[in-house]
Amino acid sequence: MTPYACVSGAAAHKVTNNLIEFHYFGHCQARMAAASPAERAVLEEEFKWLLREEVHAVLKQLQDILKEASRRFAMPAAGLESQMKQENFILGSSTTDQVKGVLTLQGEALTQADINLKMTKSNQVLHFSFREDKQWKMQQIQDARNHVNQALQLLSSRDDSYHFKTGAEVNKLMDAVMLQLTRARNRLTTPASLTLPEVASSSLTRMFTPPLPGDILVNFYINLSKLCLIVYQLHVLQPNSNKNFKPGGSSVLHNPGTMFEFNNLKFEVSHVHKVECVVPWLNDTLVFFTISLQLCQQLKDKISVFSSYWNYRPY
Amino acid sequence: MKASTQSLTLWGKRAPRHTITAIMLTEDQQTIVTGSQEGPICLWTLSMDLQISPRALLIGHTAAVTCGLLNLHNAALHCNVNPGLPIALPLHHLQCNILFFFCIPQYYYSSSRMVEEGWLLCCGEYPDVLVVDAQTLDILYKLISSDASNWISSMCIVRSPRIHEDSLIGISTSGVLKVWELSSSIYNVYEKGTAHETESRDLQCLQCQSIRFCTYTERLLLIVCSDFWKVFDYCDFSLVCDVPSEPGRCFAGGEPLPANRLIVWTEDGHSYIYQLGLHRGVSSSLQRTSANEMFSPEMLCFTSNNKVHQGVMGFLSERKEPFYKILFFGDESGTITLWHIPDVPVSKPDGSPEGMHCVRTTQDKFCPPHLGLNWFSISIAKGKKTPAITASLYLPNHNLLVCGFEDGKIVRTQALQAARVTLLEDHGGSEARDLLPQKTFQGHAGSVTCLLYPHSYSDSFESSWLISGGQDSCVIQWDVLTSTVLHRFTLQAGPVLTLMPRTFHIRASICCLASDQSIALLNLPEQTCIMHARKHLFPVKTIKWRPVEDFLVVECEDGSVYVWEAETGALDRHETGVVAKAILRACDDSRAATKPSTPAGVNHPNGSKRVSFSPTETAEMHSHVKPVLHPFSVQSLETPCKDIHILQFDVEEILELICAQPEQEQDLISSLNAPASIKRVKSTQRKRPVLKKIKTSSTLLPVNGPLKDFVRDHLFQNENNSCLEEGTAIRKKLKSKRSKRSRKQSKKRCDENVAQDLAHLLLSCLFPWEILQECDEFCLDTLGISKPQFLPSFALASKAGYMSLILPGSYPETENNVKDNGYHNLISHKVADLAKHYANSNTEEISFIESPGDLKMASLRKKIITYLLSIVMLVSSLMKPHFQREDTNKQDRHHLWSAFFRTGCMPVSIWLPSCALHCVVLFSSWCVMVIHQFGERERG
Repeated sequence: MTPYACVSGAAAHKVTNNLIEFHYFGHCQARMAAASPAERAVLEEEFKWLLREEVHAVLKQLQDILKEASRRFAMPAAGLESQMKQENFILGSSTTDQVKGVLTLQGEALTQADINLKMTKSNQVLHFSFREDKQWKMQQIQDARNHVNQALQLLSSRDDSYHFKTGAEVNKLMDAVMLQLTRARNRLTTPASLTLPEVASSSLTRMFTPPLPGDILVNFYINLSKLCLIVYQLHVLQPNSNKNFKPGGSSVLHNPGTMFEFNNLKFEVSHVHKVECVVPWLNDTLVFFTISLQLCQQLKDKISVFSSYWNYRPY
Repeated sequence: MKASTQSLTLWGKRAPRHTITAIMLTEDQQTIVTGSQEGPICLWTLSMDLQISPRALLIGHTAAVTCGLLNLHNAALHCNVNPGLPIALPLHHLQCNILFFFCIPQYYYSSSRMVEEGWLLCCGEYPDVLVVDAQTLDILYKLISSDASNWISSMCIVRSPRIHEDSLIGISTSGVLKVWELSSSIYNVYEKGTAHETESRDLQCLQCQSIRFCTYTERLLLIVCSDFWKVFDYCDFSLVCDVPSEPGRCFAGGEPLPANRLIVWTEDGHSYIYQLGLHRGVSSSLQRTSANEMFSPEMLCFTSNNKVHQGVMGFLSERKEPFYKILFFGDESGTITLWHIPDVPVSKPDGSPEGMHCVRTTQDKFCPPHLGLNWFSISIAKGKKTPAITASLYLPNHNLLVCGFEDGKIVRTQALQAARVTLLEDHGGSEARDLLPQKTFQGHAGSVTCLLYPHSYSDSFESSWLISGGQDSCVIQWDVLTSTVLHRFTLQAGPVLTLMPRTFHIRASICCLASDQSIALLNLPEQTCIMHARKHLFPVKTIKWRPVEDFLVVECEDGSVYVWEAETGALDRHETGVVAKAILRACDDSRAATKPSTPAGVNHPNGSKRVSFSPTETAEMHSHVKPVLHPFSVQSLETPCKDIHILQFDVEEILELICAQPEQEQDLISSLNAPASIKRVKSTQRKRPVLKKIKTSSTLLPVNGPLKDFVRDHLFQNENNSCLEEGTAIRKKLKSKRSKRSRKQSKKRCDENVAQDLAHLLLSCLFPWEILQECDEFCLDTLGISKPQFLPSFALASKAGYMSLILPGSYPETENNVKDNGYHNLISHKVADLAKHYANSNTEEISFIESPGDLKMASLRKKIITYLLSIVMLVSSLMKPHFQREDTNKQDRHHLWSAFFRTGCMPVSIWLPSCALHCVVLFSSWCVMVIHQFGERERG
């Protein structure tokens, strides 16, 4: 009696099916190097666990970190909801003492600025400050904050009750979150590079009292966790000067000797002063961004480990 | 992309994935446009009875498309990609312009007072609104806000006869509503370059998804946020009603309907129609006693999507009869669902609407399975699917197509022969397929992920080497001719993602990127691994070289840069931020001399480099088609399944090869220049109205290169050209000598037979079959060109090298049509009439070739084929200036645009982007006529 005689027809059919399948796997064993059917079942189970439990754990962790980051951006003063905390920063540099500045940062806006500039030749000290009615928005901070909030929105759209069905779905979410986080970080790490005419025409030059003299340009930016102030001292190039006029391109920091044309006058940068100050909470946010980006990437890596077992099926 | 290149798409068994991320319907309700996560944009035809069929695939973006805007006036499709590069695809030449800023929703605005043709109003990840020229895509002006300036999350244009001012309303990320006046501030904008907002009001609408002005009441403003939707009164911005979303559902958009109704839809494809509680009409809402009075809306009905998918939805309401109110939804799986909303929504007891039609279509229609092609004869066990092609490469030197499969096999076949067998009728059949010289390489234990033929990059690699990378983390060096394994490198680093040659180095080495983000340098001649860089935490974005210092510079997705010493494998430095950017720029500068800069390398307004080619996209393969260096080449489309191939024929090269003949055939060619034939051509020109439209021979000058003369010699000659004829003969001799010399010198040795085969294949696909019975017979019997098995689908390449593919699914009932009625195309009657007319009027002129009696069949055949090829070249060159001309007026362009959209179902017109239909007529009637003539001659 064959072993099959004792099983019902349907079951026999099933067995043969399994045999065929087994044969198939055996045939393709080289291809499925790691995955025997039993192993495969375990892997499936593990993958399900990953989607069901692990993903949500990571999302929760990410949310916590990013909430913390977002809180740094919009730090309300104790007790007052609408009023943001004001922080004063004293700008300085180890190489120059010709420029000194005190800036007041309130959230994303510079509300006050006091700049002392010691002229190189005359040793005369010039003093400027922001007009009462003006404040300067640090676009980099606003952009970074908006990006973080968008990342948070993306994460909160998939709460614990949401059931992820495929790895691709998780990857898609992670890609979207990472895109926002990378942009947020890039906004802080890469300040805008401007041409000097752009700096000169910016409304920043008209914000000071007493008004800035025509031969001085200023620019503020964020570089990593540092709030930077650049002061350019210019001199006008005579129209008949035999110097080769070559306008400079766009850059974060222009070197002395850069030339540009503005309002039909040709200028050359004679001195550049850069002073800066570390904003501690910006440093925190950058750390948070890096950690969350790594968490996202690790989750993606975990999913991709499984995808390589699933031989060509896209996760 | 050369003007003379013709491209043909061979579709595979599987449709390319199309995850819809943007969807829109044109105002004439004839075309649906979908943008995808993968990049390509698909155009679908929507018929009057609401049937959807895919028409064309535009390949230009490499990142996800986030929004599209079709602008009828200048026939441009403005699209937007994820990293924020809006691209205008002017449909008449399908060329991509790239802009450099983040930009999400766009609006088109044009006014008679404007200097420019139209503005695109853009908002995105930057404060306030940018005004962009709709044609050039230059940033023109800024609409700025003086108070609480922030990103604008959505906006709309308010335009109504009652309010004599066009305004732009936007909601910022912080929930503040801003109003800019457009029509009255145009002059102001021209003067100062900016305009300030006229109204700024904090409405607390965070996460705003959409804002719409109700044009029916001209009063209400619908604001849809993810958690609620609200209706405001536009006059005083008082809240009219407020409805929260169901838990777990996010609203995604909405649109006001007539009679105080509105439709709101969610992210996952549910939609709800509400009746605002204003039963007494608009007037009641205007006479509300208290500003705080709220109306409670009543839900009339809803539609639900059974399969919950993420997707995008849109709505287009009727413009005029017989247009419908259509709600459309495109989802991740490439499915489009349409609902036809009745004018008066009435709900059934279960809440679903009555009389609402629903139509569904999927991306599977891209290429119907029966049209899918098999390049290879692979024995498959019954019930199992054909293994998918996962990598594909064409080796021009050997005319070989090498494909890697998901089961680890690599199969090599003769590309041209295989294409002939698959495409043409009389070459078909399984026997012919089995006879193909095909070789299988067994070596990989997982699917083959990438293939590289390093010899095509540098001569330091042997011409027989083929490198393949697999999912099993192996890189195998093959001898492509003997199909033996030369060496097997085991990387132990996960599936191999990309292989790149390292060209400018004395030692022939290649660079492998594996999925654990490690990079291995493999020395091929010595068969050793030089280094393995394993420190990268994030996916590798670009790989660059500093040949002087012998550095390998790797840019990761997070913006950091790793500099490796190639020789020792030591990590020299790891930088982020500005320094990283500077290092990359320095690499570009040092390479600028050796390599042309990438066209996609564009500047962010902030000056940072935004786009550079990533190695994972295997250089230009993704969207950029490399200039064809050989008369024939095969490329695979960059999709997960690489079984969609594009065949490219360079007509110019084919002609040159055919004509570079041994001396004894010289006289046969020049016999075409005999005076009688000239007379014939002249007479054609005089008699045929179509030809008159296409100018005289002087306009032919745009035909480029040395072939200009050739084509002119063939097609247009002046009567008084006895001396010219001599001239051409000499030139021909020179030319044949030159090309012979160049043939000797050049490595791309291409047999004349190959050229002939290519010509046959191309003409078989281009030829207007079944217009004249005798022509068909003549072609089959004498010329050796044969009918294709199905309508070949052509592809168009734009100036910038972007491709648009015509989808085979766009032909109505293809299979039956071909078999029963032949190709019924719009022009066939016209062509047949013209050809017959011509034949009748010219019967006495038939003996136009005064050739000796020993005219051999072969030479005659060759003559006709060269003749036909020159027509192909002529037609394509005639068209190029036509659609590149700048001065075409609006009317014209609109016409071209609509023509493009209406005619996509003809085999010949397919390679006409602007569909200068007379060119098609010209080509086909010319073919018919010429063949008719030759046929007559034959019999006589």
